Amino acid sequence: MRVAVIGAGVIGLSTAQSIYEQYHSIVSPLTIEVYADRFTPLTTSDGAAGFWQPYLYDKGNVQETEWNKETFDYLLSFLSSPESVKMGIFLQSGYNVCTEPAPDPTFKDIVLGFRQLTERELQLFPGYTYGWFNTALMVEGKTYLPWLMDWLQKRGVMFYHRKIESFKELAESGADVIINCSGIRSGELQPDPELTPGRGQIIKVDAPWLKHWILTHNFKQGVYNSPYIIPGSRLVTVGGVFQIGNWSEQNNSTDHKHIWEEACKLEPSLKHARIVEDWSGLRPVRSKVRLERETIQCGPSSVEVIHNYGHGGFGLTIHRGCAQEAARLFGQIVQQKGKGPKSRL
Amino acid sequence: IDTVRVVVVGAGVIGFSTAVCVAEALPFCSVTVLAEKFSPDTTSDGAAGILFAAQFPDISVERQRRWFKDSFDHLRAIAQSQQSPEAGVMMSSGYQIFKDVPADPKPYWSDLVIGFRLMTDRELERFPGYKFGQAFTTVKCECSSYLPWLEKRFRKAGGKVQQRKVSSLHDLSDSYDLIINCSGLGSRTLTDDPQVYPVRGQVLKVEAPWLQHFIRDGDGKTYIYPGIHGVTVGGTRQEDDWRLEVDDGDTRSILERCSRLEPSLSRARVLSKWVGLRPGRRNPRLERELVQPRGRKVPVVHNYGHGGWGVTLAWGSALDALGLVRQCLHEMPPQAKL
Repeated sequence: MRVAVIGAGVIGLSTAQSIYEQYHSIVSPLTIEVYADRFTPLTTSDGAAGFWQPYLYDKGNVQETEWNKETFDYLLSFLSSPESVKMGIFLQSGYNVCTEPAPDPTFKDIVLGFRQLTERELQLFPGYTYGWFNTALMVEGKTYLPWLMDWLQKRGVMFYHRKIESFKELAESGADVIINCSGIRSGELQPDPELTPGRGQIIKVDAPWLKHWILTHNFKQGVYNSPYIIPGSRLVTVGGVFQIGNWSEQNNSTDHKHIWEEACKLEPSLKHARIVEDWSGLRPVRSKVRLERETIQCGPSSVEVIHNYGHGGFGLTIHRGCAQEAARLFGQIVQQKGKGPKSRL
Repeated sequence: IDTVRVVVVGAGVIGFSTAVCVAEALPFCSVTVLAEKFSPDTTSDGAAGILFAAQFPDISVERQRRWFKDSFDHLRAIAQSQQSPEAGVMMSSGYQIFKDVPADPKPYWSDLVIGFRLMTDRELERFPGYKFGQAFTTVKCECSSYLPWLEKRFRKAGGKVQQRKVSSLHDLSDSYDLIINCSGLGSRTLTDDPQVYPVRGQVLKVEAPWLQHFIRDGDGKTYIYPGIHGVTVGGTRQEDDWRLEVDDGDTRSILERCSRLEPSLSRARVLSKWVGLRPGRRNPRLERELVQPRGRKVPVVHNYGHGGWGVTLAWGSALDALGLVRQCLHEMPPQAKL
């Protein structure tokens, strides 16, 4: 069976991994190929801070909360091994602060040591009157993606540096199943009015004395449009903006100035931090993640497509849960095509 | 009013903290720091500097709380200001874990640090063999940066610095009106105090920039303290051990114990090794006395013997010492100033 994955960000690579893990001994032969025009370190996943945290509230989307939890627990399990360093996984604690009291976030039981902020702690954040402290995970794209690629390459997955123009193209070349992990550009393969860019811009600075992440929440301004500071293993990511509908991947100096000023108000010591670089990326925003099967007609034949895109600003946060679900959908296809173990009776 | 000539013996964290407190509070004093060793060669320089309270048997809990609180609040203000990177002072969150539930699960300092709580079962799962833990946020003060920063502040307040080995406090009684003794382990010979003894500590600095939390075993012997430019891992507590050389056996033991707590450390590159002799004493000596070396009475304020808690207690002790200095000055007969 030939599986073609479109997209080599965290979603594409982790889905390829889940499918391999679950089916390489069941389906024989199983050829997995990854097609992308951008590989690490040039994907959206690479630019992201690598901080595990969903949006504060899942708004009833319990499925996404479960996938987030699955991802957290999966990443956490690697901490007992030195392999975690090669994967870019580590723990970091920090603060979510709000301008007004707010209900506890949906992820409170997923993270470690979740608690309310004390009065003394809130004094650190003038202008913010409420918030929470917890320990979460970091999974840095620039380390995690190469680790995933290495994992896949060792198991015979092939990579092709090529932009796929249509599902038909892959179907005609013999792909049995296409996994569409093309993120923000999924619309080019199949129009999706629900998919829109949530442009983000960040500044990477050298400030090794910072060991906590700080995310501010201003409910009037909306998610990620309020300053955040997320220390990484080498540099600190300072943001942010969340500009719906803005397709520009160029760094904008007005955004830079705004982000920097707001962040320095939040963390005065940043004034002495050396600015290393700016980066802009397009979060693949959608009302909800598109994770479903579709049978696409290509002339006389049809090809099975599994869509796995639209993870907004929480791709790294949710990737494993979605990858496992995509693999489950793949399993359905395997059964239907009679390629599963029972079919050999 | 004539200038009172004050000398502070010792340029570690206790010496410079005390010198700054006196110079800033008492402008009519001229303060000189006299020491054989300055940063980066003091005992304070190798300390990880995580603020963590001590418990001394013969000093009232109120006084120890005050020392800790004064130090904590002073350093926290620096950590949260623009001075943070230059001063080498930052906030640090982490865990203190215990193999057995301690007698005092919620110690006296728990309300003085930030966000103190007990660790959850899920958090303890990371540490097999450990049954109990505390999680909190405290301050880390790196003396290799903090001491130069204090010196700058001291000079700005008019302070003077002189490099010199002091063999006897009596030698200073001619040139100074008041002596503040912050000579740490040196007090053993300087003031003939047999109660102060070395507690040898060896630490390594490793490169592990992915580590963001401190982890300390409640027995005080194994700890991991991520800092600004490296992670300090340790340690040892060898009483009456005067060796300043690195011990390879200790190095191996430290790496082994710390890697058990934090497996990712086995991938960390060792950057440097360091040995320091903590000025151990049953209780720190923070009191005044009057010495009369050559007919002239000279007040001495002692501020030494903080063991492994020097950084933690420095500012609080310094303020306490300042109080003793004020008392000395108050009682000083006018003719002594001539």
